[in-house]
Amino acid sequence: MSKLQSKFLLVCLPLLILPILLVGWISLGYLKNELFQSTKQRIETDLDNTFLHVKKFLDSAQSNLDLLSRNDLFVHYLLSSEETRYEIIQPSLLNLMREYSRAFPDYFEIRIILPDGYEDTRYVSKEIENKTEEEFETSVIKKIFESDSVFSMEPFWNQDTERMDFLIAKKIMMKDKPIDPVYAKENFYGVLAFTIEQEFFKKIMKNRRKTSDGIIFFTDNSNRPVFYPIRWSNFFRSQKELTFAPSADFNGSEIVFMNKPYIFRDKEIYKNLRVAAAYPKQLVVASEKKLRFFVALITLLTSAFISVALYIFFNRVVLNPIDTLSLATEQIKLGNYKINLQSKSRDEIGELTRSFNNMVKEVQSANDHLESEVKIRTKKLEEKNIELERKNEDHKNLVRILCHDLNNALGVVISSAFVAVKNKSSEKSDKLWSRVFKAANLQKEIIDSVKQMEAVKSGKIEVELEEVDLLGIIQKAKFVFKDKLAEKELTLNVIGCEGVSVLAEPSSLGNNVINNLLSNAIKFSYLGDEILIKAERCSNNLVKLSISDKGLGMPKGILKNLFKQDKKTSRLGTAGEGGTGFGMPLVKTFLNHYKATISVESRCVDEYPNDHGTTFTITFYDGNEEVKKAV
Amino acid sequence: MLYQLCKKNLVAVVLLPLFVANFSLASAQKKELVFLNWAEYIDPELVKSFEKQYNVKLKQVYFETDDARTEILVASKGMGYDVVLASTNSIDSYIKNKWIDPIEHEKIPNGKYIDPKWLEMRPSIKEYAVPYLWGTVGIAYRKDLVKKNVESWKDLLSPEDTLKNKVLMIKDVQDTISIAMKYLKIPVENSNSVKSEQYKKIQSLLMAQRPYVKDYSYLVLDKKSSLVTGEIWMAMAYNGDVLTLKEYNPQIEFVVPSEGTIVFMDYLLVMKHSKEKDLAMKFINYLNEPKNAAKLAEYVNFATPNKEARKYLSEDHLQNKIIYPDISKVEKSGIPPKLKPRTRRKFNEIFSKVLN
Repeated sequence: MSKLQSKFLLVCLPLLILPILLVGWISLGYLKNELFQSTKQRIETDLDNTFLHVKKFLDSAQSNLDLLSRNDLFVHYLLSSEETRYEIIQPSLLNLMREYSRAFPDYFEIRIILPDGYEDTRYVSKEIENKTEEEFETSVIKKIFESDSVFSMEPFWNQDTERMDFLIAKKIMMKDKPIDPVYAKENFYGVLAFTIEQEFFKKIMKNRRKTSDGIIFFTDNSNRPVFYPIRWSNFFRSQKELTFAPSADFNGSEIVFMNKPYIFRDKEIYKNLRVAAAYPKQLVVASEKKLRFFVALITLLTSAFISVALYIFFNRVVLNPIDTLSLATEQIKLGNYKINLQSKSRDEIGELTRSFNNMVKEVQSANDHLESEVKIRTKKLEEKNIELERKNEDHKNLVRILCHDLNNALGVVISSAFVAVKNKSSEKSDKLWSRVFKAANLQKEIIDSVKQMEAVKSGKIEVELEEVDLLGIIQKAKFVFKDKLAEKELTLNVIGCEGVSVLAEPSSLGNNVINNLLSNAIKFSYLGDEILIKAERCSNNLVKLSISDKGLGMPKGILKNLFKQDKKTSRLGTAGEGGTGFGMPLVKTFLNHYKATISVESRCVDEYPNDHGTTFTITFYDGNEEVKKAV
Repeated sequence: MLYQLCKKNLVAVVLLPLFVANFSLASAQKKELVFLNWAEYIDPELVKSFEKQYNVKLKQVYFETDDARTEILVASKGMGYDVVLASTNSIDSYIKNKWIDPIEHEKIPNGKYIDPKWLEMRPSIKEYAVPYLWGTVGIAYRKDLVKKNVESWKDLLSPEDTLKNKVLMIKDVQDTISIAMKYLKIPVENSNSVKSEQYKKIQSLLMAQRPYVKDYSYLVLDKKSSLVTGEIWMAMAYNGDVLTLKEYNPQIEFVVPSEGTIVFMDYLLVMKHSKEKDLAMKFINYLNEPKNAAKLAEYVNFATPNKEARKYLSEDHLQNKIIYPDISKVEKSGIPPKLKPRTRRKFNEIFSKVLN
């Protein structure tokens, strides 16, 4: 796990999970309350539904009882003599009762009990033995007779069915005759009663049980269970009176049935009939446990899901791009610039990625440029190095040649001086002195040439290019060498130089370049030969200057090393003139500074006895101002 | 709008008052006698001739059962009827309820033709009731469907399995319990002293018969009768009724069981609240004219108590063993006694259970 991940998880997860846990805890409290409320509501609903059902039924039964008691047949029956009653009215009355019972099968027994407690008429829809006709023997009838109310509703122990049933009774109060005067006192004629079998209550309890986990049962006004589900018979039969205590959790009471706590509510239907509902508290507790478990599970799952989602999101959106950037950075470190990171997101990370890509491109571009620069610099360095090596070599050669040349010249000087000393003054000694003179001059020339060349190469002599009139320079050279030209009866022809200027440094061009070339042409020309200096303008602002002689010519061995200062190329001229061998390298050095080039074409006399000679061609830049600026 | 209605129905508007006036006049002239009777229990010719002779209108109101008749009277408090036909055991109560008036015998001179033995049969009622017809209760059956030879109440009260839901019983408390007593050999004349165990036996017998009984009612006396159609194979029946049905289906037989049976007598009563008491007396007198009494008996196939009427009865009628059973069987039979109130109550209770 990366540090960033750790930091993120340490900070974000608690921030997310703690509120979820808090919400879960609050929800649990709310749901728990809802559970209690819903249980309470369920009990209330069960209770109310049962209450309404029973109340409606019993009210209807009471109305039917009242209706029957007001029926003419019934009234006539009670007002008739015993004989009339049984002989002519009772069969019809029994038919009427049968119709009632068929219409309302729960009224399984309809009875008329006379004031003396004698059960005068009894209709039963079921084959149930009548154990007594003297109903005063039964406490419920006694109670009804003693009651002040016209209507009575009583659960009672039915001797005939040997179980609890329900009695709805009406005390029949009538005047002796229907036509009695208004002030006539009403007499008590007995009681008309419907017996409702307990099956009616059991059906209700059974139906309620299908839709509820609770128990519905009925009690009398002294909390004695009177109708209860069959499976509770053993328990309830043993209960003379139910005892319950206020509930700590519910707005109601709790009762213990068979050692288990029940939430208990009841409601009075009639004076002596109450409907009661009990709901196992254990189920509420179990539901609460389940609820707690599910809320905890949901909270944990939500937390886990959010954590994972967040982790994935964070990895995908933040960490992975950062890792990718990190890897890309590593690649860049290794020199791999061919990286283009993909980013579709428009957020800061995407922006960073795109910036990174741009940065990589720019770094690559800078690197390419740098490499190119390095290459150029390296090449230059290499060239410099080669140049330095070459210069070094040149110097070595120069030193070697100088030693050699100077040694030779000194040898001549020493030997000439030695001979001149021995021979005192003589022709021979004159010659020797002349040779000493020449040798000394030669050494001087050598030293001057070397000095000048080194000065140019080392930059001690600044070569500033300017427009130089070519003809003027050549005229000066002609003047310088007029004696030598005359000595060898040479003709110097100058063609095309008028008005031609070249880009050069005028002093060095005259003294070192033209003079050297003209000196060489004179040196290797035969007596009476012609030397031609010719200039011509070429395209591209170039000027070609050629100096041609018909002299000795150069063998190829000399020709190829002509401009190298480390090679011995000096030869004697046609009149035995010596040379330093540094003239051509010096020419080349100066021409390089002028950005001019030199080529040489020579035919050696040995190979071309009839057409020999040497032509040096120099290609200058035109000396006008524009070319000068461009160069 | 009323104008337009009158205009459109001008003829009706003109004729209606005339029609109403004529109708009122006719009604005012003809007296009406309301007779509460069983259906098909009087010869229509007799009715017509009586109406013609006395220029009256005889309006018959029918009841389907004895209980129904009582209910009608209870509901009307005995008012609205002039002559009522009732069976023996109801009359005492009617007298006590003061629903009926004593017969003015001087207004019924034909009463002298009534056999005194019928008058003396129930002395308490002889001043209030004039015998109408008498008959016996027996077993009617389809001889083509019931393969067994029917001769005992056992065949009806404890029938064979094939008769399940094929039996009809008369919906009459005392008649039904009386034949059960006959079968159980409990003397019917001792009905008021039946012991508790005997009641249980009677109840058990009748309860055991229930699966065989399709209905507790009376036979309908036309060709749609369930006995005629074969829906019912066996029935507790009054002799005359069976003879009527036999005309629709000769396969119907009637037998007075060997144990004997009960005899019934129907009477004519004059209602206390009748406004046409004289006419009522005339009607009773008319019916007791020997010729008319014979005609009545011939028509309804019951026996007449009018001894003079025998002269006018056909030989077929007189020789009909269904109407006039063998003396041996008659000797074992009789009219059930008047029940004490609590006996009657007990009978009602048992029968009520049976009817469930």
